[in-house]
Amino acid sequence: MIIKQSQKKRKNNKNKLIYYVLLFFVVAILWNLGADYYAHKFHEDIQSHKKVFVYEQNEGVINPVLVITDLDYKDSLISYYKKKEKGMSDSEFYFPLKTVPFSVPCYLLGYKDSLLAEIVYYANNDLKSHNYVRGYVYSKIIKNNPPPDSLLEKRLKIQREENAKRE
Amino acid sequence: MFVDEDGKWPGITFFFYQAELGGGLGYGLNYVRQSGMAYDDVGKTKFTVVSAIYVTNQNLGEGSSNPQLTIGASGGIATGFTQNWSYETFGGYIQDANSHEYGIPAGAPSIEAELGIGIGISKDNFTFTLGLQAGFKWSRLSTSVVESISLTDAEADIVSDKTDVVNAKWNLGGKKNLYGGADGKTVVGWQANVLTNSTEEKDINTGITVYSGVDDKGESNNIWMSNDYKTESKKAEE
Repeated sequence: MIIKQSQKKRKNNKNKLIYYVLLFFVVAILWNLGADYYAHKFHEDIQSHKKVFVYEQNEGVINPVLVITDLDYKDSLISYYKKKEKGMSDSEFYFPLKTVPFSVPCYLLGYKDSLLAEIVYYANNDLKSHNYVRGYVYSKIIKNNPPPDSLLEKRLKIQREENAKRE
Repeated sequence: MFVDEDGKWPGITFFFYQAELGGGLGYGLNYVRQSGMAYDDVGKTKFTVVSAIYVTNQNLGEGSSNPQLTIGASGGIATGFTQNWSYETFGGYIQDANSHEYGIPAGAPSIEAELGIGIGISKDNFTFTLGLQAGFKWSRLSTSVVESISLTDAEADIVSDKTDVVNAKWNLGGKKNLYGGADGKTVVGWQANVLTNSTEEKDINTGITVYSGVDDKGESNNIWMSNDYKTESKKAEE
């Protein structure tokens, strides 16, 4: 009698274990399917927005554009670019340094106000990597086309010369 | 690997504080933030690094050469150190890391089964953490530098002399474009002043200037070094 009860208990425990293992795999599969679907829709939505490019082009020179990922720095960013527009090329800034790559397309999500635009760009323009930066740039700098190759090459040459000088 | 001809402790020693929370089963949510100091052959580096992944931004897609993955769950705060013996200086380390991926020090794949103590070992480094952590997690994360400031030991001493606070902050003030080219209009990097705080004064200018560069694609990295540190770091890595 006691042996039979013990065997029944062991069988119940084994069934419970199988149940929990199966439950774990079902939850894991559902979680990954759900997350994959959500991520797919999320990126589809981003990539449905207008493609733009973000770089400075003045007097035959291409320069990088500062981007903020925190709206707390909004006023500082706008103030920096307003000073630059007035010709103060050495204006200072106090927010974290981050710039948008020249030739990578950005998706324009919208405008926070007339001077600040929200953009998303993907690391190395690899849309499948799901590795992106979402931030805000000075809206007057947004362009519809990538920078001309000739200006990019010119910039690269100057930069390499300057790096060599510093090293 | 562990032998240094000069008899010094080899490589870079990172001391850091860490806050971490996360979990997942393939797709996941994970956040790790580390702030600390790295000591190397030529100087010191204050750094803050973050690894953040979530469902829509975790680099899991097809074609990714750098998949980020979390299995399990854990969270907590800790303090710890990592000894990296593959590089002589932070400058050499980050220069190389720039070309593929960052990782200071959370970049290595790690298994954490922590209730107070965590240990991680990879071919390049050893990490030990002590703190309030709980959970079990296997993670493969890449870390991006929020900001790092590298100074030589002599420059770090100048900063220390300006403050009466132990382990005072190093901040950056007056960031400016660094122009180059024949017409002086091309932005080839940035410069900033190193600031610190004392018990009575905020943002004391130490008079030390640090520089940050831009890559071929126009991306900055927020990695700041003094010219002396950069020069000495290059020599040390040769």
